Amino acid sequence: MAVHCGRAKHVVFNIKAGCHLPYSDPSYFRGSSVRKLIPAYFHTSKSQRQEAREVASQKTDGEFRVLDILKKKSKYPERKAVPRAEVMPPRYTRMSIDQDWGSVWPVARTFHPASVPLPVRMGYPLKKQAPLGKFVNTELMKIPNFLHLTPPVVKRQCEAIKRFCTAWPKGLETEEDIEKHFPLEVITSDYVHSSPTIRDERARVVTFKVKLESLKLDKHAKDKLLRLVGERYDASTDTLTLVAERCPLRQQNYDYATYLLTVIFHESQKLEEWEKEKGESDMEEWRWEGSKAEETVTRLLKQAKTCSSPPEYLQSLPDVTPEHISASQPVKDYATSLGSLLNQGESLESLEQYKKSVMKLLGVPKLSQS
Amino acid sequence: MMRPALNSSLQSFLLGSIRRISHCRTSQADPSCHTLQDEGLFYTIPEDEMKDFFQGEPLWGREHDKQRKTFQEMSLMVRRPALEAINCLKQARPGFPSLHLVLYGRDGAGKTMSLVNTIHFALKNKWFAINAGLCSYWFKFKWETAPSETMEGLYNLPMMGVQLLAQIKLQNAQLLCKTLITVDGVNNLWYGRTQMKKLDKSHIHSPEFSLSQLLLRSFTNDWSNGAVVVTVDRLAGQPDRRESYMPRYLLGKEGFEKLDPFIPIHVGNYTEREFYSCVNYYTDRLWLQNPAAQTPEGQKELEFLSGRNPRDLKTLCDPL
Repeated sequence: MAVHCGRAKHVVFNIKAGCHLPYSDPSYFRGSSVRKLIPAYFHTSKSQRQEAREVASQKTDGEFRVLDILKKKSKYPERKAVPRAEVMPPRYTRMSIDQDWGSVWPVARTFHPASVPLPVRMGYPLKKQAPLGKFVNTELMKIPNFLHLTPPVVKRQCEAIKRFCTAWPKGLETEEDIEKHFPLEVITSDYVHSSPTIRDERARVVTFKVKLESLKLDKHAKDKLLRLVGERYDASTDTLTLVAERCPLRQQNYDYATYLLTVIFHESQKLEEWEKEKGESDMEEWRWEGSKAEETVTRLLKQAKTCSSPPEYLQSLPDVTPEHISASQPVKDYATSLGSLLNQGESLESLEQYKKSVMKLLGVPKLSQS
Repeated sequence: MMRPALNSSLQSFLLGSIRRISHCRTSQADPSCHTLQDEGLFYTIPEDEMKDFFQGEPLWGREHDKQRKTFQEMSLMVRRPALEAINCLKQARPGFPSLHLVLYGRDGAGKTMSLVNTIHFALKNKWFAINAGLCSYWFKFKWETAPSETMEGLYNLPMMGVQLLAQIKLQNAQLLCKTLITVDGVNNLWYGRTQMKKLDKSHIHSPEFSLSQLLLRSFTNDWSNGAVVVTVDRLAGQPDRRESYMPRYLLGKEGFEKLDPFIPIHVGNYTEREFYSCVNYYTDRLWLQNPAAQTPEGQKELEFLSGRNPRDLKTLCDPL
């Protein structure tokens, strides 16, 4: 079989390009000039040829394998594999589904991924990825967990301490009953932790909470007490809160809070001489009696009565004095609407109400349809 | 296929717009004759009345004055607040103490234009009117000041005083029967540090001007046969008092007591009817030329974007 020269050249080109040989058997080239052209191929050992054959036989579609004829040795000697300690598989893989979870996680502790048989994920996910898994996840370790407080465990612990409890007193079934019989709420906190000292300075704080309603104060006393306690009073719940923490011991703070409550209560009952100087700006809320509006309206109505056509209700009034006009309905309505505007704050509704009352007061008719 | 559909839609659009445009005006130019039936329609103040009543510095803002010149007419929409105010003014009678009306509402809702409508009514019915206009203008710039000779501790604003007097003279050339005092942005009279300074270099506050004191004095009810119509404006006041547009907040305790008892009139945004009337008016004046603004979708979009606020609608329509 004669090999055409042009064909041989083609083969050489293929070898240079790092491609596999089209003819795997070197005997194919025997007795031709091709042997001189590619000496590297023909002066190879048997094993190399074997390998080349293997490479050539591994046909992969669309991929050319590189034939490394002159095997280069690595500069570095081969390293010995260092034997490593055997790592046990995570504990959750060996857990049975009916295990006692309360024994696995008996007390509060930081999250541990291998002990929790749940596919928990947490953390800010990368784009188009799920949130991070539970292993090596600092986010999961940062947050407090309640794995020690599962419902069966809570139930079991409640059962265990039940024998130390006493029966709930009769007559205190509802919140209202409790508030009625025990109006004063005393709040203290105990702190338990494992450290060289069992003391915790936060345990000294004593908080008194009492509903103002239960103190049974009159109008003056309530106003004075509110001014004395300032922001310690919460109007939305009608609760007065006193926090005593200035003394080092709880008992001292408790005594001090009791003293404070007693003093505030009795002080608010007293009527001092200087309290009679209370002016309009000192009032807790706007009042019609003695207000500037009353004075203005009296003057205005006095003038209106003298005009040719006063409003109807004015004609029936014998005399225009603050006492007389305050009894008439339009002035009453006006005072009420002004009071709600000034005391409850203005809104479109309260202004509309005020407008209606003023129009009635001045005898201005409403805008008619025609 | 397309032609008849296009034609019919164009036809209906043209017909619709013509019908609606003819609907946005009322021929009744006398504000005392307007009723709730005319609500939302525009009326035009005749040229001669404009010359007689509204010469000199405009009572409305510069922006609206520009619009008036562009439209070549002074048209006002008949709106409920102005109708209510006029209804109250009609009750002014000899011997009866002066009525106090306070217009309040959001920015750009039309308080000033309702006031102008009321002033037009008063002047046309031969009232004697003192229109202080936007009084924050007095205190906004550095005018010439002089200590008052007659009022101890107060300051005069000679230029503003002359301007006001000239305006009163121009507007009240005819017979006088009742008195009207109007102030735009009255909350500025009580609170406001002006740029003008005293001899000791301290700032003069707006109540320290004789002009403010004269106006404040007129707010007492001891004079009769007249009315005081004022607006409270959030933006006219000081920058630290802009949290609400409500009268009690803007007037403060002092101002509220001075004006009390007053009739508060809320100037709200346009109603649906008023909004479409205004869009039609802008179309009529060729201010809205964009064909998309004639379609129901476009008008819905304008309505949504402006929230039916008159000033916002005007701003939106400027480039259209």
